[in-house]
Amino acid sequence: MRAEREDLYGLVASALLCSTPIAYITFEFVLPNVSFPSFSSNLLVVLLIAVMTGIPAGYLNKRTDFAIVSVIAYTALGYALAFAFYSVPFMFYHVQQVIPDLYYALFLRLTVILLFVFVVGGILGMIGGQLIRDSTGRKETKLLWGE
Amino acid sequence: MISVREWMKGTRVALALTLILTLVFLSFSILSAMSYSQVIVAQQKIVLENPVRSASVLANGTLKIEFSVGVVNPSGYAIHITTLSWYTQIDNSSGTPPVIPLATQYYSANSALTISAKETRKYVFETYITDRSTLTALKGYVNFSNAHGHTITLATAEYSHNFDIRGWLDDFKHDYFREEYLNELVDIDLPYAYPEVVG
Repeated sequence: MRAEREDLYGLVASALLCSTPIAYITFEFVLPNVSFPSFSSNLLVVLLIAVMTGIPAGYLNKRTDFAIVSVIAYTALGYALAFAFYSVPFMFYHVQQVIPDLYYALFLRLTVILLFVFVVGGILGMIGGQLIRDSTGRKETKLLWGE
Repeated sequence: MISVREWMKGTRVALALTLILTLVFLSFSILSAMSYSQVIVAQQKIVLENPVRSASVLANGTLKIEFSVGVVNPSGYAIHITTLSWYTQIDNSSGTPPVIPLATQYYSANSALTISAKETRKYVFETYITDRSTLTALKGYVNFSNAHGHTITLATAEYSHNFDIRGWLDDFKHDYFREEYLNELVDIDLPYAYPEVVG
């Protein structure tokens, strides 16, 4: 099935807009004591936010395959953003890194499990988002809410 | 074919809600990255300055030993002190006892000492040695050193000073048991030793 423009709009919009919760949660998971608000690296909270983040991806994408690709795309973009936030002291504050390999290895080691949670939670949320989209598109729903 | 504008019009409520979500998390991220950076910068800028050591013999024969040091905190965070300690002694490597302890001062977290943000705090410690046995040991050390080519007195002997200040920045959480790197992130530890220990 050929991709339509509408599918690409949904993909790009959800990839861009849903990436910041992923970035923040990843950053907060590594550095909970300097983050605000702090969720204390709680995996259940991470899963709930991942589900919440997946809802717009499901809603904005009509096709399920594009919605799944959106989840993967915003997870990748959010992870890259978290990497950038993690590097802020060295990019903008001229702080010298002592052992860069170890610094970034620690980040990857601590957050690799989150990628799984983000994708699984995102797909769960996406299913919810698509259900909402289908529901709002139906005449029964319009009539029900219109009354 | 649907244009971007038409598509956005059709999904405006969902887009607006997602945009709010994005902006909220983006502001959290920027805020957190900034406080992380400021903590790291503070770690590097909080230093000890101008340590001064002195010793003098008073008219009644009492030995007075003094040590002062400044703690410079240019950061925007207060330092809550967990340990503040100072001790002075003579390292008598060629005699007995090998160490002649002279004075110790220690303050724990119970003392609730703090250094405010953007403050330089000077700590002054002094001790008066009046104890006859300690003074005798010190004089023995001085006489033994002078017999081996040195020219020292009680006032010019090399008293070693060890000072250490430990604390944590502001109200950041600092008592993690598993992820200890998080404690180190907001902990301050400024040791001073004279003479410097090599190795």
